[in-house]
Amino acid sequence: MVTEARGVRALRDQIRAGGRSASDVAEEALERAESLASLNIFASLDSAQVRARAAAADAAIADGSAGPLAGVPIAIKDNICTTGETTTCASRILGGFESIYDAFVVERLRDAGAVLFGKTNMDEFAMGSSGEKSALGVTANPAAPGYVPGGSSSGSAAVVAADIVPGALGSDTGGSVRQPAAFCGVVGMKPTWGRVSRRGLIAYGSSLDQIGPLTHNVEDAALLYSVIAGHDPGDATSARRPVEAPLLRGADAAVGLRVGLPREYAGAGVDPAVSGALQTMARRLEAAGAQIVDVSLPHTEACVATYYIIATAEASSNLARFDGVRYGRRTEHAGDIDAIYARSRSEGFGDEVIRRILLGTFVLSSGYYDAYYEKAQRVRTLIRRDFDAAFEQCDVMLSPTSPTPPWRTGERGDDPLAMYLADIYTVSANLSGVPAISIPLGHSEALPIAAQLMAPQFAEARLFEAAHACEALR
Amino acid sequence: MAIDRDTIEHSAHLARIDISSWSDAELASLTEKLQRVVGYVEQLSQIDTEGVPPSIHPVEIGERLREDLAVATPGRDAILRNAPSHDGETFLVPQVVGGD
Repeated sequence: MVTEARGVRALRDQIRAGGRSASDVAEEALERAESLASLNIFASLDSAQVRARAAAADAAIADGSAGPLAGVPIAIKDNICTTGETTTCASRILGGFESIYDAFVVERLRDAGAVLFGKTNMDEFAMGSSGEKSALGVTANPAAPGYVPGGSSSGSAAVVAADIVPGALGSDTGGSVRQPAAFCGVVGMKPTWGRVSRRGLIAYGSSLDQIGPLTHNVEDAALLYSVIAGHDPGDATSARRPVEAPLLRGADAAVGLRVGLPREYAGAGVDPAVSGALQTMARRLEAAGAQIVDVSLPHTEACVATYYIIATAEASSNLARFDGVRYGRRTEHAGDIDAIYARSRSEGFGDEVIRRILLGTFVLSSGYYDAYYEKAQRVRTLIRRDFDAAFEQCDVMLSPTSPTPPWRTGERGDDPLAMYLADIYTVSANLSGVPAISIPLGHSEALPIAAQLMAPQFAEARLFEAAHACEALR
Repeated sequence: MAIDRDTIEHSAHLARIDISSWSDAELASLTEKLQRVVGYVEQLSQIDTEGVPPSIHPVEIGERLREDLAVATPGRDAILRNAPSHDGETFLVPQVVGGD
């Protein structure tokens, strides 16, 4: 199987066994990145630093102190802070910004011996579902030329799909790891809210954001997850529960597994190729010993509206810190402090970011707070209750990741609502906090299609086991 | 709720985003887009949430306290390095209070 030869674990084992040096691996990845520069995958890639990190990994392997990812190149989304290079959120307002500390997940990757391999392009401040809303320009989909890679972790999905590096980290606020993974034909996973520290992740919607891995296969996603998950005293919302290792055993995990199919997720907007592939997967799971259960998530239709109120409200607050004073771009066309704030922000933020800040400001403003923001928070409770009830009847839920395969670049142009509705099956996991994973199911007319699995909060081990079964059965 | 130019201008003021240089056409386009989004999210008003508490977080995390320990921080020089304007000790901005 081709994925085994190019995966995180396969590469790690090869390097550890002395088959290739970390430096050789890094050199090949740099060459490949260079030859695929037109895909516009990277926000920045410092080859000298990559070479130095690979040399350090080789030294660690030689003296026996190598960690579980020693020598494996891993790319990082450009909203996750890394020292020694820029972190820009693909925004003009953070052009040239260099973080003075590493994100928790970056500390963990460095400790594990991974070779940090550049910062990936993204929708600006993680606000987008297509990769087109980047100040650095759109990333191409390596799995479907002419089509969007999905977003907002566009570069992190593309860098794996293009076989430049075997793994990447993205962030997922409403599907931003899972949907680009689906569009690029790779695996993408969002942990339970609180499972992975958000320290050093530049915040979009703090009650929704999670960092997650993108890889070729489920086993690699579980491996990267095991490195980044766990308690961090530096994030007050970080969970203190122990991280359980999944027992990956392929289709055997299907035996006795109760797989819920949310009936509201089989709506009219689902592409027939996507629903057909899902039905096939459900039949195979059943044949392998799973029990297919009809479950209901009655507030599904309200999820996108709830999400866009809460996410934009939190964004309007989180992005207030970009004021042209402490870091980031300051306008050259302002005299007084108020003008510095307002001009720096209007010059520095792109259109979609400005739209979401204005929407978030509006739903939080005096006179509208109760009707919009607080209302959405109450509906969010109903959505969480839907999930609690559904998970009393099943162990995992199976659904589409995206209602459609990727669309053509430019096709959904500037219609924010059409773009937002693409997130219909992913936002609910963020609203309810549950872990979810997208796995490729194959192709429809050469376009990748994918399934999503969701599990109860903190049941990541079960999620990976079920995903591993689906992978074996597809 | 109808989103009009006044709503946009008020929100932009609150958010400290300067839209004074936007053309009428740009403002009209933004107004129309936000109106569609607000019109869409208003569907939530149809849902009965009587007696339902709001969710601040998706996961119950409780109150978090940590030990009161001194830990190393990056220090002033490192923090000032990203500032657009500073004098080595403080961030610099135009005079805010007083003046001519």
